[in-house]
Amino acid sequence: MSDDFVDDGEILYRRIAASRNLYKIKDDGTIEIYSTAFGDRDFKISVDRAQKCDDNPRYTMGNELGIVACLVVEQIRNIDDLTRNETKDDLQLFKIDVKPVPLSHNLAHAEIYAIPGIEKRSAFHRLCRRLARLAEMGQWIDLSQS
Amino acid sequence: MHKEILRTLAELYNLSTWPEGWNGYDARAPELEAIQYAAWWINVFYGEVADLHLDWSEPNVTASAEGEVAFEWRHGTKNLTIYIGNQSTEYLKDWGADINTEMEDGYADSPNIRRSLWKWLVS
Repeated sequence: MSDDFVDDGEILYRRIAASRNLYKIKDDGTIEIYSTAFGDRDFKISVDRAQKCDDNPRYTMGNELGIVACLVVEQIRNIDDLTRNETKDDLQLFKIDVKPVPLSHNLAHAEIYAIPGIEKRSAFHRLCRRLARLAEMGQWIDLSQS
Repeated sequence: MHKEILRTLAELYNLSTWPEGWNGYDARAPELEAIQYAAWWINVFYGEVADLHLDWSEPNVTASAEGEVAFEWRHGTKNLTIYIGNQSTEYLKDWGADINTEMEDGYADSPNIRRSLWKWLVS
């Protein structure tokens, strides 16, 4: 487990707060996760590395209620179709990556980000929508009951 | 205001109570101007859908991390998200995971675009 690189096989936790209409658990047990669940004002999405928090989703959720979505790093790095048209003939392709960004109060913290950095909101909205679809298809842990 | 959107409006005005960091991360509090504009926008949109004689469905109402209002509808595999800031409205529609070929975005400020978005969603 490296401190300066996030391996492809690692799981990332993203907390999604209850009572904010960011997800809906349906009667059949499936879930709808909205793209706003991955929003970030700096276009870098905060997550926690599961390995760094003992694979404990409660670490990520803290004392709040909601769900914890699990994303596989390799699936995120495989997002290779996010583009932006700078001009009619100039198509900018983004690489999506994950890097550790440990914080003093959260050593498991990491960020999902684009190379080059996303400046236009529309590209970021598309990335969030893709992540929401990945999260819906993957594992999620229901911590909505106290 | 149309009575069919009263519940949506109630959810919309509830956004004004959300504080900074409402998503557990660094989200801005929803902007009051965006909420007011979204109330106008959803009322106009409902009227346009009614004029088309198409069924209405209530959106999921939430906010973006940048303080905008976000409406989201699902219909089968189709998803329509509307981001409303202060006097600006953008849409993202998607019908699959491929960002290039199954997603489309743009502005949703004109009646023609709004009507075409709804027709696409419910078709």
